[in-house]
Formats: sequence, C-alpha cells, structure tokens
Amino acid sequence: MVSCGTLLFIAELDRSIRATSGKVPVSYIPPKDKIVSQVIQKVGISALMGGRQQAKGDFDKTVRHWEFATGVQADAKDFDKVLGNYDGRIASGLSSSIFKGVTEAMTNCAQHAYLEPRQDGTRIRDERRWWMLSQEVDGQLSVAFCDLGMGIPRSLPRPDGALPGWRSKLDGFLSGLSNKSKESALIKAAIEIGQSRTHQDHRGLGLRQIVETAQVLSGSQVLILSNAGGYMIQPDRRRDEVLLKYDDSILGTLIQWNMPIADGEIHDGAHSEN
Amino acid sequence: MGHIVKISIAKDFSRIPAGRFFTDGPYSGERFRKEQLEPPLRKGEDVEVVFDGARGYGSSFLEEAFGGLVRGGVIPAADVLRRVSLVSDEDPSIAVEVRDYIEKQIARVHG
Repeated sequence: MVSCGTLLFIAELDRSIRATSGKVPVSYIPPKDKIVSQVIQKVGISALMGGRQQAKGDFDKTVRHWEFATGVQADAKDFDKVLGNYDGRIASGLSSSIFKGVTEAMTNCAQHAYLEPRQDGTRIRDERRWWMLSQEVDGQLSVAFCDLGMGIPRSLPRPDGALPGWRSKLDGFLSGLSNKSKESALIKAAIEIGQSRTHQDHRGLGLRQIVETAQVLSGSQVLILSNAGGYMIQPDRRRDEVLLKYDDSILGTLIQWNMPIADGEIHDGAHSEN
Repeated sequence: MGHIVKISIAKDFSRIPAGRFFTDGPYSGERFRKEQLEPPLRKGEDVEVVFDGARGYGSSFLEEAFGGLVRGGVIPAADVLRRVSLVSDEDPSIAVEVRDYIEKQIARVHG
C-alpha cells in the first residue's frame, strides 16, 4: 500500500461517511494479508466502518509508524502525533521544513481549496477538511497531505482579476508546453509565479515553501498532484522536475514529501548509530 | 529606547504556530500580532521576539504577523524595524525572512 493512494482512499471514504452522517452503512471484507489488514486498522479505515481496533503493541514493525490525522483548520496539534516519532531521527532543519510545508498546506486548504464546489456530481457541501498520513518503509519517510477541493489549477487568478503582469507570466509558462500538460504546468506556475487568487502581492508564498523541503536533504522528493496534473521535484535526479498528466482527476490536491530516514539518531549534521 | 518586552513565540503563544488569519486556525499570525505584538507597541514599549523553540514557521504566519504590523499602522511603518527586534539563534534565516516581509511592506507604504 502506498501512502498517497491510501490517503486518498481514506479521505474519500471519510468524506462520504461524514456527508451522509453515517446513515449509509459501509462495510468491507477484511483482507487476508496480515500487513494490509493492520494498515487498514492503523490508519483508521476499519474504525470508520465500525471495525474492531487492534491493540497498539500488536502491530508489525512495518506498520507501527503509519500515522493518520485529519482536521479543518491550520492547526498543527496532530503534527507531533504524525511525525513526533521521527524527532532525533531526522535533522531539526528537515523537521522544521516539513512543519512549514504541512502548515502551509493546511492554510491553503483553509483559504483556497474549498472556495468553489468540487464538481464531483454530488451535492455534498464540503467543510474545509484536510487529511494527512505518514509512513516509513525501507528507509524512506513519506508524509502525504490532501484536500478534496477544487484543485490548484482552478484556484488560480482569473485573467481579469489578476495583478498586472500575471497573465503574461502565465502565458510564458504555458507557451512551451502542449495543451496536454496544461494542468501540471499550472501547478508549476502557481509555485514559481506565486500569485494568490487574492490579488495581494504579499500572499501566495505557501506553495513555494511546500516544495522547498526537497532542497533540505539529499535524496528527497516532493510530489504535488492536483486534479489531473502533477508536478514532481527531485533535485538530486538527472530529471530534477517532472510534469505529470493523468487521464482522471483526483478532484483535489495531494502533496507528498518523500525523504530518506536514518536508522540511528541524527544530531543535526552528524549521524550516530544507537 | 523604551522598555523592552520579550516575547517567546514558543512559550508565550504556541510551539506550533500556523495559518494567517483568525479564521485559519487557533494560532494564526493575525492572532499573534493582535494579542502579543500590538499591545506593548501601542503602549510605547519595544518588543524583542524570540523565534527559538517552535516547531517551525510557515510564510503565512510570519508575513501576517510582521508584514501585517506594517500594514496595520499601529505604529509608523518606519519605526517597526527600530522597535521590533528579532532573535532566532536556532535558525537565523527566520529573522532574515521576517525582515524581508517588513521591508517589503515598508516600501509599499512609502510607495
């Protein structure tokens, strides 16, 4: 199970159950695979459907550090729950960078993501909810964050409402790309041009901070999926940025930070084994 | 120089500041500015803001707290950098970032 797909699944399930106030019964056939079964319990999927909770100590070591949180504000009180296990295992600079990225993502969710309907064919009136998941597998820490809102491309300023020069900057970005990459190009534009839909030039800084985490630690990567587009930044690879296009839209935005994590303790610049 | 009020964001406000406006969340930049920064400045006191000890600072929080101080006009824009000192020993780049937000808004105010 990968964190981004798992997170989207939890988010969609959680949203549907909340929107129907639990009146529509949802059940599942428990998986036979022990690890998958434990992940489903650890991240709260089985609890959403009224399943039995497994005692914490019984989780496999590969599952023990899956953590999940959800909220409707830029409130990082669950940040320690999701990432507190990694204090001492990742440098404070990286931890701080992830915190900045996550809280900026929460702020974007609170301010922009749900300004217009999601266009998913339901009449659900969305609260400004976000979902977050952390996972450690094979020496990699993944932190995934998502909203089920309108998506970054739709949230950008309309040409008639933008600050002077925005339209020409955007046109410059798009001119070198085929129409097929437009949504992913718009994601990149939102990061690099950095203008908010609010027409205020002191805003619109958050997306840039979200991707800066990829620069903090060698081997890191940031992926932003929004509607049917995606933009990946991986500074250490030969192709340090990749634009992605999908046939289907996730109808929202998912951000995933991936970074290598040490077995021993990190002492900000030095590494020691326990 | 007036009496200096020391404000540790992590100890006096929150170790997990996040968000720009009151409506974004419980520990926003707007709330920090209105509850912690503005009252002593209105009374004629100077402030020393200590950034150490918090989990981190998003740009939305910092820009609204400090850039918003210039926009809000509680004290003259030209006095903000003189009366608000910034201490960030764990991560000196935070003070640089905040100073940049303040200076940009001062430039905007002065046209």
